Amino acid sequence: MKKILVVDDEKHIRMLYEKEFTEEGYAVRATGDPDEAAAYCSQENVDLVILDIKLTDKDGGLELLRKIKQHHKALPVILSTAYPHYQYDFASWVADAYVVKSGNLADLKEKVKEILPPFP
Amino acid sequence: MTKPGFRRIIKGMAEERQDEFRSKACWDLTACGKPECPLYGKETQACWAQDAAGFCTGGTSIGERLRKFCMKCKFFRFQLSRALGRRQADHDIYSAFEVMLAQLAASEEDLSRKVRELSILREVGRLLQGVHDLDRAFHIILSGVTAGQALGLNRAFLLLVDGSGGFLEGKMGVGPANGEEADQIWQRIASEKLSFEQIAMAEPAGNPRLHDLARSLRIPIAPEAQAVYRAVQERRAICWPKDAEGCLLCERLGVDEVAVAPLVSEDRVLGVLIADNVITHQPIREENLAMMEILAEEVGAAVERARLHESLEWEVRELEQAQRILQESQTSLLRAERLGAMGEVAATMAHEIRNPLVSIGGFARSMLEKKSEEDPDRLYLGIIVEEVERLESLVNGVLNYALRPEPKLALRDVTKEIGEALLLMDEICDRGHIGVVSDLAADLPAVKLDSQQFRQVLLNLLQNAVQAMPAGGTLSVKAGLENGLLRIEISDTGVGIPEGEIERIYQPFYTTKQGGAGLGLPVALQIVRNHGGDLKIESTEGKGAWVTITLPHERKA
Repeated sequence: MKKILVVDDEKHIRMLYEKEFTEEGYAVRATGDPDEAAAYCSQENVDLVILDIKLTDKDGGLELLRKIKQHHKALPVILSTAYPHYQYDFASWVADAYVVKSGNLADLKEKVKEILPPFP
Repeated sequence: MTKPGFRRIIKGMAEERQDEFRSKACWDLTACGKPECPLYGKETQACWAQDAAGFCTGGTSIGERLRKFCMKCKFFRFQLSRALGRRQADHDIYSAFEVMLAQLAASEEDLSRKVRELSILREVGRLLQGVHDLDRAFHIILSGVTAGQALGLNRAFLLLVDGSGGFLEGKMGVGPANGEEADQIWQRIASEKLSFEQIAMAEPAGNPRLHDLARSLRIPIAPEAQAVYRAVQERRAICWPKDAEGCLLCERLGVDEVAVAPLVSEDRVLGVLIADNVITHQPIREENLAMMEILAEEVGAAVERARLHESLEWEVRELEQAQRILQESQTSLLRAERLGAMGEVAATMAHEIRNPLVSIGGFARSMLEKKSEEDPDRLYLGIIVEEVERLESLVNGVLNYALRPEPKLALRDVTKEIGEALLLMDEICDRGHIGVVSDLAADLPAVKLDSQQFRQVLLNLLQNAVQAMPAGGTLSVKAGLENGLLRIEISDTGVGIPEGEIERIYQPFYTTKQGGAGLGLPVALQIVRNHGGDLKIESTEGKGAWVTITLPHERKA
């Protein structure tokens, strides 16, 4: 089963993503702590990361993205954010996809399936 | 009183002509012999019986006339001695006495004339006070030259030095244009007993014919126009006869002689004051010239006053404008500050709201998808999903407005940009029974645009237009060049914007649409302004709205 790591400091969003992507046929692990997320990436065979970046804690998400891309070049990352303007930020360009958070997960789900089909 | 006594004597003499002289007329005796003399052929009157302004005087005073002409006249001397009951031999003594009397009378006359002139100057000065309009001031001064109560010359003209400094150009003329008009004017003045003030304060260009004549005058300040040339060179009033060398002015004005006084201000010649007696042909006297010099000085002072007034007014206007700009800047600064602060708060708020919305909307949607068609909860979950979508759209608008990045400009083909935006609207327009009219000028120049942001502007405006026509209508898009700018006009035939609300529609969060965030237009305006352009909306309620975008463009190759 493909493993997805969800990194978001919002507990309810983590719960939502866990529920939705489990139902889509993935194994989901969720955390709000970037350090724990970095450690998990190194210890487990994660296939995809859904990473939240936000304005108030800018370095948290983007720093983790930098670390992941440095140590796990092949690991795809989808940036999920409340701010549409991050797509103009150069640092976000290394991500494989970019979605604006919404109660309608259709867009995110489509991107996940595109990068990581649940059943090869 | 000497004068009436003297007058009585000479009047008596005029009526008592001796047989000895009956065969000869006075002009034969004085040898002036001018047939145009008003007394020519009138046997019972003598030339010296005329008043001070009489024909034979040659512009001299009565005392001078007696000395120069009458005392040399045998006829005069004879009658004088008879009137005084003396013998011929005593003539010289009495003559001398009479000359003294005459001179006294003349002095009296001079004095009363000077008093009259001074009072006119005072009157001119009084009327000029508080007059800042130059035409009005010129008319008062010219009236001082022509009015009967003043110098009483027939016509007066004002000529000012042109920009090149080499010519005098006619500015204004006062007086009658011909004999017939003169009779009418002078009769009217007499019958209505018009005061100097009434004459002077009349409409400046009151006589269009003379005004036109004045305006047609263009005289070089050069030797071919001696009268003007000399007056300007010598800085004094002069009288120049037609017969003298180079009197271009006499020729142009059709007169025998002309008086010219220079207008000097701070050692600079501004123009000339010109006068003539085109109707009466009376000679212009030395005293007239002196008065004209004084009136010319008044013109110079009036010009200076008007210039000062104008420059003061200009400075006041500048200050007022500066103050207005300052006030506007202050207002827009305050507004920008308020919007800036609001933007920051809105961005933070939007972020904080978006995360819970994602959870609420996400779980509601997840539950909705699992409910069977018959489940009554489907309706309520559907409402949650729908409302969350609406809130998310509002949050997107706020974030777009508050955190808009600087445009990334590149040269773009506007025709293509508009065409693509219209293509995206095609289906919506079809559904809404809206006809689209596109009128894009051929060969529009390239424009520096952030394509994505510009697309957003066009879509916002096109969507607004479509939403304003719920019952269908016509959506028009025009593009062309105007005043060096690219002009795009998007108009609809929809409900329009209520009068009085047109200013408010630029404000964030103001909306006339159900469920609208009120950010589409502020965002569009902000984007267009970031592109160095402007956006303006006009509307007639019930008829539609017209949005005009103007943008700077690149020059065509």
